[in-house]
Amino acid sequence: MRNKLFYSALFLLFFMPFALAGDITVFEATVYGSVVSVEVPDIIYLGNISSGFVGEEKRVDIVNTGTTDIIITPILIGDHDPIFEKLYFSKRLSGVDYSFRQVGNFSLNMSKPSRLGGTNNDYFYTRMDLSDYTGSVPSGVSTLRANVKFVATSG
Amino acid sequence: MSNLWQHQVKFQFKKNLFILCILFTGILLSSIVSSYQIGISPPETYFFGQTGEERCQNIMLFSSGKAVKAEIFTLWKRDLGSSKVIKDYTLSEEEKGVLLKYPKNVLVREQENITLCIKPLFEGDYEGVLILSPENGAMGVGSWIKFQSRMYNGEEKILSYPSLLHKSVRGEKSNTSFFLLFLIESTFIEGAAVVILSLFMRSRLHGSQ
Repeated sequence: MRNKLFYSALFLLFFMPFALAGDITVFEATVYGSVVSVEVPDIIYLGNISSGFVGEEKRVDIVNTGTTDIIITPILIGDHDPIFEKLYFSKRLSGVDYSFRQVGNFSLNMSKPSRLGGTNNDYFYTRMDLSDYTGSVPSGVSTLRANVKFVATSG
Repeated sequence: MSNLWQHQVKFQFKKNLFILCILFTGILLSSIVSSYQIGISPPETYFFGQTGEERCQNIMLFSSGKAVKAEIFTLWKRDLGSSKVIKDYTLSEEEKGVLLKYPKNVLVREQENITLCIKPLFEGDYEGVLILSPENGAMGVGSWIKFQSRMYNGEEKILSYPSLLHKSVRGEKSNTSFFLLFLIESTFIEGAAVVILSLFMRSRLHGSQ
């Protein structure tokens, strides 16, 4: 009986390091680098607007599809009609996040999706405010297009 | 009998019409909601080098949904101080005094690798942002660029962002200590086994005598 116990203990002691060695090399993972990624709407239509008036608020939906927190900043690119400098943005239309800021002074922070491959959605509002605009406005009815880009960068 | 047949034909026709309506609505909606994804990696790119020396790094661009024709450009910060507010980045690469090499226009199909090479003309710290801006679409993605450039004065200068170096060194250390611990532990267990065995043999010998 004593012999059996002794040999059992010896057997366990002898193989313990091998069991430990087996425990450390089993983990494998595919690690993705950080990516800034967003879903892109083709066009954001601001509606009808005329000098001396404030345009309708339009909702802009943003989808964070990357792996990092992002900051969304609207910027005007290249040559543009000065009318587009009168673009204003607000996170919400009421509450503490209600505050329309001019293009260049607005940004939206968005956290990364809660799981890899998931999405995180948020939105803000934009409107054109020509109430105090003194610049020239095209005569008649015309459609203006500006290169306003909502640039997503890591936060 | 013919009434029943007519009824069945009518029912089949209505069913087909309903399916067609659903199909048409689907096609119509898919053409209106034609959004796609774009991405850039890494979100931040670091360069270290000497004045006049060219350094290059790969940047990965992604698109999903469709092939995206896009323009690439950079904006640079006038003053020093870390800031991630794009409105602070107002200078072009020429105005900032950096020579950059990268494709100005790209067609991104699924995944595209571009090389960004930078050659600063002056000593200093440079902070910029590289923006991928699709031709059609209201959004763009950007990757922050940080560059430290120093004059070469005969000695090799180590330019570092402490957080990056610290990370790599700490990683190596932890691996080493883990294997050392394993080695000590296994040696100790084997040693204990040998001691127990020798004690047992001795006791058996004494017993037999």
